[in-house]
Amino acid sequence: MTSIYKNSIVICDARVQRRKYSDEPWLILHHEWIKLDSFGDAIWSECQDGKTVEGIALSLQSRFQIPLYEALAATVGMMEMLRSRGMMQYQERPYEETSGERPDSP
Amino acid sequence: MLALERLPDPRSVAYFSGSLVAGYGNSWSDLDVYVVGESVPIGPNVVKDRYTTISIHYTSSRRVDFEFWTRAATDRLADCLSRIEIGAAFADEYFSPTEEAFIHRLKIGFMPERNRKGLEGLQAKFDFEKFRMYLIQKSLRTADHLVEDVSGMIESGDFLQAVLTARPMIGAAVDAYCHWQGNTDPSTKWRLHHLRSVSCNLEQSRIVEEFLDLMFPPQSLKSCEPIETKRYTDTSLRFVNRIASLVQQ
Repeated sequence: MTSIYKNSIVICDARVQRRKYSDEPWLILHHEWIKLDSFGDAIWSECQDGKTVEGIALSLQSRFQIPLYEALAATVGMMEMLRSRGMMQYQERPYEETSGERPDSP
Repeated sequence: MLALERLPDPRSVAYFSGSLVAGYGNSWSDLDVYVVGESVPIGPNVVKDRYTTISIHYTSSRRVDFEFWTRAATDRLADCLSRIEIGAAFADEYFSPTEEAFIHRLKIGFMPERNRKGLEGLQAKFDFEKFRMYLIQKSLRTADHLVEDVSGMIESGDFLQAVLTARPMIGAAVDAYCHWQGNTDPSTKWRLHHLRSVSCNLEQSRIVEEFLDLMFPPQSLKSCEPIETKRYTDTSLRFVNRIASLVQQ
């Protein structure tokens, strides 16, 4: 089982390119093409900005006016799919165990 | 100037174009005159191209190229442009560089008021907005091919080549950006001028700065140190990706 910290920063592989063909967004890494729906496209866009998993889920919640648990599920699902295909990785920044406070954002 | 080829001629439409008309030219630039119709060149230096016939004149201060095109050839170009499907993943190259230059130069063509009617009639046959979209697509496709090349070079440890190939990749992305902003000049030699001419606000000016930073990477990259090289190519790839997302939003 893999734990994902909500304040992990998402680092996208620079080789992954997002392109639109016939008005449909795709992620392309060499021979791998992934068609994105509107959630996926929004999540990828947020990933580009070096946000945390939590930050991405909050943006998604606000943008699509959906409950946070749904936004979080969509975000984590997409992240894990991208990670399994080598398109992104987490830079884990767990909470300080002693203080329980979040470290400053980069 | 037009008298060098006994123009104007009622059988043809003639107009000035090229870098001087665009405002980028310098004292070494030649003047381009396009002649569309049934006129034939009368000058002493005539070069027949696959698509056009060029009559070259040397005046005391400047070289003048008269490019003769038939109406049938220009009608074929307009028709080809109208049939292009924008947005396909594996689009074909529809025009030769000469033909692309012709379409752009027709768009920016200049004639004094009294002779402008023929030029406007010719311009009306072309969908310049579609041409702009075609150029965005073509530049992005060029960038995409180079993204693959750069990624493969890094993976195989061919670091110096990756740095050198990253530069045209960045250039192609900037071309796409300039086309997105309205530029329809397919020539890359004025890339910086194109970019500066479409950069009016802070965000756009940042793209100019990033472009120049990436075009002049640190000298130390010549030593092919893997981590530093990868940092440069990753920054370049992210730049291309960001531009692509912008122009395809």
